[in-house]
Amino acid sequence: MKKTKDILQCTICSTELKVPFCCKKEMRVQDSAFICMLCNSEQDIPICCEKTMVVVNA
Amino acid sequence: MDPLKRLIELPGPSGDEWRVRDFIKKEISPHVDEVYKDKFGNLIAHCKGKGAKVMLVAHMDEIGLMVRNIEPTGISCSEIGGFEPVSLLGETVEVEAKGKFITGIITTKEMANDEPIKKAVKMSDLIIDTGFSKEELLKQGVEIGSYIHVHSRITTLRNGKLLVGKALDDRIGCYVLLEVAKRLKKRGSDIYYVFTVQEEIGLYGGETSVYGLEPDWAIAIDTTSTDDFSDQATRKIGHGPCLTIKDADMITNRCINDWFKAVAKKNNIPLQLDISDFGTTDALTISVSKGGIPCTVAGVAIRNIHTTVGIVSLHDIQYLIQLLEELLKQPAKKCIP
Repeated sequence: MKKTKDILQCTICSTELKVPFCCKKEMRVQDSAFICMLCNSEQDIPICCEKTMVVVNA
Repeated sequence: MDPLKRLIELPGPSGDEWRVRDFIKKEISPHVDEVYKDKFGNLIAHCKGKGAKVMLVAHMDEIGLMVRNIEPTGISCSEIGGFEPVSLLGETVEVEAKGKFITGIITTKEMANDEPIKKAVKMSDLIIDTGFSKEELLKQGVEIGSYIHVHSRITTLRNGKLLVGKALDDRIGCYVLLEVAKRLKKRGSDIYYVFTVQEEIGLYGGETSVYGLEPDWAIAIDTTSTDDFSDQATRKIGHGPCLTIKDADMITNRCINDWFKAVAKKNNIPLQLDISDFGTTDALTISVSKGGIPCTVAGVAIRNIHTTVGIVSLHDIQYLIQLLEELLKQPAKKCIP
């Protein structure tokens, strides 16, 4: 079984956000941006405490 | 040694499954017509026969760790798949160093200094203390990207009825496929036993294997988490195998599920129906490949899944083997939804 629940987390203050969805699927981080594996659309990774948030398993 | 225990002991994080593959190849070869490895690393064993072409899938890889950096205070690590960080504290590991292994202990800065741990432990907090300095580790061949293997410590509970160990997800599936292959040898069904790689990091092996095989339908044999510490439990340890109806990302095929339920009822095999919102399996990528492959998931429930101390019922495993044997002992029908 593969764990599926990823979250975005601030490495400074531990604030958590949901990973964005596109085409009904979680987007993936690629080349410092979120990318939709189905339609290739891109989205910036949110910034918190002046640092880019990281994706971690919840 | 018992093949199940051997399978659990072997290290095989995603991308480094060769030890598991070599063992399975040796074990399954006498019971099938051909065995080969595909370009992606999946192991495919084919038992030729009549009827629908059936694919049984289990993944060889386990969740693991990899060296992220070698720092003055120790080795920081990146997770392969989804470990629960707190479960790793105090574990003994072996860090690969050019064919050798260096033993280490997983700790944190707070734990090492005997300070209170005030926040939930994250993967980035973990440090592997090998007792060696950064320079000594580099000299011995530890580098960024070296695999880190968690020690295996198999034990039993409840007078031997429950097995405890690492990598139950999904060496149990691999063991079930081995046993089914032994029992169904020359029974007439056309079955591909597929042992996949890189499930834990993206369900990749299942997806690539389908293109070469084009099965009529498939069953992923994988593990699921228990929920028997909650009030309204539906996936209990020791209450029989689980048939997944829905997981976080897919609805399984109703036609195959109906066969499963009917066979279980006819043979008095307990079967738990699994609806979960957490996790998915190779069945997801298989089911949406090659124009769509009817697919379901069968497995057993594990306590502490995705830790080094998973707990599984040996009875559940035996019931699952029996169920698959009964389902496939006659040439399979095509599955039309």
